[in-house]
Amino acid sequence: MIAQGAAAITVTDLSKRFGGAAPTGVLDAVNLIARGGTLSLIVGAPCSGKSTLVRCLTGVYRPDAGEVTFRLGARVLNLTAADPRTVAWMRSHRIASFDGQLAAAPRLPAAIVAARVAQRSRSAAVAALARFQAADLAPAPIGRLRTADRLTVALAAALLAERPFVVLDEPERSVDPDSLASSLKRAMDAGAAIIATGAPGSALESVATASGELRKGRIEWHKQ
Amino acid sequence: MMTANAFDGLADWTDGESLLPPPPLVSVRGVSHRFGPGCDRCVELTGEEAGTNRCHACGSVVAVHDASFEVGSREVLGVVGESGSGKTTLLRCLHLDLVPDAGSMVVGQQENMFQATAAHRELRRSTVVMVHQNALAAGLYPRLAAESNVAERLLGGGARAFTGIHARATELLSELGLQPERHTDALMTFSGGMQQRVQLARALVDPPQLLLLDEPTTGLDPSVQADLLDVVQRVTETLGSATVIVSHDLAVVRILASRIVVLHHGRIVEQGVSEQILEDPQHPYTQLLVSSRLT
Repeated sequence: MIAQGAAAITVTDLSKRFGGAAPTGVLDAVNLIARGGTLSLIVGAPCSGKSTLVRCLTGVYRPDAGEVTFRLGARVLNLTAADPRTVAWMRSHRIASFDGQLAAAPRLPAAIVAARVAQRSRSAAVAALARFQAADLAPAPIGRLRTADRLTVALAAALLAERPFVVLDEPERSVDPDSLASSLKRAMDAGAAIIATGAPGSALESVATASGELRKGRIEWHKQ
Repeated sequence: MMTANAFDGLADWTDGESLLPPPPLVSVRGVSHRFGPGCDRCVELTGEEAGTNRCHACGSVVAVHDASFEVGSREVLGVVGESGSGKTTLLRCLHLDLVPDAGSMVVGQQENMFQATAAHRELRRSTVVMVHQNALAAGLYPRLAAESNVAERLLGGGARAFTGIHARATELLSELGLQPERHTDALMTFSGGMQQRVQLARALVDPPQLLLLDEPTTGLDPSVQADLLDVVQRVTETLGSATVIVSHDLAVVRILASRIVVLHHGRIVEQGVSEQILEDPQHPYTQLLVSSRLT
């Protein structure tokens, strides 16, 4: 349990371009604050930069400009300026991320993979899968799962970890919206600062405390 | 610009609100090693800009230059790079097989290991352990039983009671998935994957502070590789050691390591979180390496 309001993710003037000679701007001075106990939902059309934003927030992409700052109580860390060891530690101990990636030894049962990612027990991982009606995946080797099922395991692991910062890239594509909404509410009640992305018309609008649309590299807020 | 260590507030890693990792278990600073007589221009005439690690002036090979990194307990660092990039020389320095020309390595409470007064042979048993690509080249005894190879390490650690040694060796080999009926078979009758398991069992005898893995899955068929990955992951988590893995296989490194350093012409050209290096590489050589992956 995190004290309400103790956690916060602050994004300041975040920009990211891709390409060599003629770089394409994906994010252009994005600003965002997600406080503990809240869910900020960023919707956008395909290729609007939602996944790029998530990857900048979780330390996978290094932004070209701007800062991503994490606050927990009196502690503040600028992830963009942090050394790789600190970024790796934040990713494995403080940030629960879901971005479609799940690197694991292929023969490991899904429940063990989820338990290791979340640093929780196997039984807790099975219970987390059951919340998304996916308990039957628990004994299956992760390498034999369909992509959609791997995503379910990755999302269950991210939410099982109960970390103060939660960053999810289009979680609705992997599980049913009602189960997801109740899991996110539970994480908000526990004091987590949550940022999630989704397609326009996302069902998460109903539980989001703030929402905006990512368009032409910037967020246009319509609920704050 | 703010750095991670320019942290607002006291960097107290023991509290639940910390945003910094615990202090590293292993700290490597400025490790450099060259083969050959060396000259004043070796550093200038080698490296990224020069496009070679061989000094034109004196013919020396600057195998590693100014390599620095830190690894924490239960952390796995991957080292990648093409053949001749300096991976093996770096690993040999960390394993105390080579004393580098410059640099230091602090492991736990032990000051610069390169200048340690204790015999390097003893440190290789107690502090730094390497799992080699080729088990038979790693000092294991091919004609002895798997159990005896593990027992040899137990004896080296001071164990003397036969029943205790036998029980412990059996337990370790079983933990690593070797069926009991094979424990007394000669090592040379084992497959590559099984030999790697015996090496890992030896590493578990006396958990080292620094575990080095040299291409642990190279040369194994995909099925054996998949099984061994699970074993290696369990061992690195169980031991609590700092682990450095060298591999050509980026998929293996991605699964096992949370961070990667990229070596090219003996220099670290990029280091970062594994996903960073593999999905958003910044250095041209890393971009080439990542784009050369077979998908």
